[in-house]
Amino acid sequence: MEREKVDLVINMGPQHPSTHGVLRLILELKGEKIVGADTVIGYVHRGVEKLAESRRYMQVLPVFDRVDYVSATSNELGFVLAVEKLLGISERVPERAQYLRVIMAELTRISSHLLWLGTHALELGAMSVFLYAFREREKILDLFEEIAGGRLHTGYMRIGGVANDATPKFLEELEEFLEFFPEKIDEYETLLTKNRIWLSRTKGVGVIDKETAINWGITGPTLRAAGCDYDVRKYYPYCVYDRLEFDVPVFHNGDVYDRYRVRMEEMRQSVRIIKQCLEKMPEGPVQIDDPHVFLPPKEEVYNTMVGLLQHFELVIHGIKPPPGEVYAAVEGPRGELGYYIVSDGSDKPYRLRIRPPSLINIAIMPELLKGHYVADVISIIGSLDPLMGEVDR
Amino acid sequence: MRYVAPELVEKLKRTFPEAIESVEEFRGEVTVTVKKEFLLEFMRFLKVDKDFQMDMLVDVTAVDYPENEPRFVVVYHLRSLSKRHNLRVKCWAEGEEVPSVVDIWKTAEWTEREVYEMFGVRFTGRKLRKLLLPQKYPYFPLRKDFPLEGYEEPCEVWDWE
Repeated sequence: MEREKVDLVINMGPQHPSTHGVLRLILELKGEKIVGADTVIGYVHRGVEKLAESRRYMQVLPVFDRVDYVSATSNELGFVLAVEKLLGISERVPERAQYLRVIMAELTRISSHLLWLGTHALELGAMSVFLYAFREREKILDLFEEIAGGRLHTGYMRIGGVANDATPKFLEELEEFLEFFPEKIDEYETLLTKNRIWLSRTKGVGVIDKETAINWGITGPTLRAAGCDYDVRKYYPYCVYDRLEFDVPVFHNGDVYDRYRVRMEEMRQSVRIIKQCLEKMPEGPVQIDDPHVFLPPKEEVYNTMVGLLQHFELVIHGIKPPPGEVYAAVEGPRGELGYYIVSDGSDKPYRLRIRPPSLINIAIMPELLKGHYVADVISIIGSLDPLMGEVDR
Repeated sequence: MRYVAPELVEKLKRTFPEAIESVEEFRGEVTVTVKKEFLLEFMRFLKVDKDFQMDMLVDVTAVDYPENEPRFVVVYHLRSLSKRHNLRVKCWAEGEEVPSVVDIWKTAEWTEREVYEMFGVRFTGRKLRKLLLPQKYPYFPLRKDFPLEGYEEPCEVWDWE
């Protein structure tokens, strides 16, 4: 097939600020129009899957914090759910821990969407939204710091529960946040939703229809903006999502604007979910009472021989799930984040595969960019919300 | 995560008596291992059959068993959004090669390329280019015999054109 004659071939990225760090696009232009595009990725490939195969199940967790570094808790949650399924202890994880997991996962979703909103708006020329979004995101990071000690890499989830119970200060500040945050979403919407510049930059740009999206395996807000109501939380509920009431926002145009609307609505739904969690969360332990899975409390380790032996056993020999293979997924901020683990009965995963939503969502980009203008590229990349750490792993 | 019902597994066994090597169930997840020569036919059936309607290919990956012959097994995670069920299909890559399913599901476009560069499993019917690593990189890092720290001898891998 003869290729169309091009006027110019340009490199966009990897250092272009709107290419999310390390995404390189090779664009073939005819005038201002894109006639061919190619993506080059892999600049931050760290071999996370290989690394995971050399670590014990408990030691793998911090590695996954760093895969999608703006929604660490979701990554951790996906992994611990998969390991719990492999061990067959999913039902025995205490209820309070399940609620805390949902609270943290939803806070992560809000913080990730805020980062997306701020940077996406900035890329399209709206500076104030960036400052506002980061102001609110900071509050969430403070909450993370209060409950888990870390702001970005929280390390909060554990196989069989969570690291700590919520402190009274955390719960108080979380309630405060839930009170004022919905107003802030309205504020962002006042600035953008009917803004004429925003509309002309986003409406009808980067359209992906429902069939195409499903065929390319796209998930998350991009799929829901195309008219498909697939959300892991509703289709295959994990933790306590089946006990909570929330809507899955679905729009039908599949363009950049609808992806923006889906994410804004998702933040409102996340607030609704967290409020219900705070109402329904029972008192009780937050870690499974099983010495083969969870380290015993420090008082027991220091004061009893049994506690000391259990601690030693778990640290030295680790968890040994039965041979078999499982796939577990969570609805991360970018879509379905799945973990496929093959166990050979040893203390390390034989094969651990992350199904990264960003990688699979951006595979369509070379097709999608064709026929658009150079200025639309920024809008389209932003709307797919790729996190390059997760793409490259 | 809900997997296909036992009666549907029976239907698969009836429809493809020669193609299916084994059916396994673990923790409620169903895995069907298919012979390589029947893979494409089997996958097309799963996509169009009204009881299955596997319209989404969630992921493609592979597992390396160095002691085994053939060595690699390619793993496909399939899902039906309308039926809300899942199925895992496996295919042993004899001669380190399996047919490409990119014509059935576009998800395979990048995931097959990743399997190729990480394991060296080729997918017939398409030209494979590396995705995450330099094009000239000679090793396959996710193979079990690839050392964790990588090989020490330098190799000219960067192509700056």
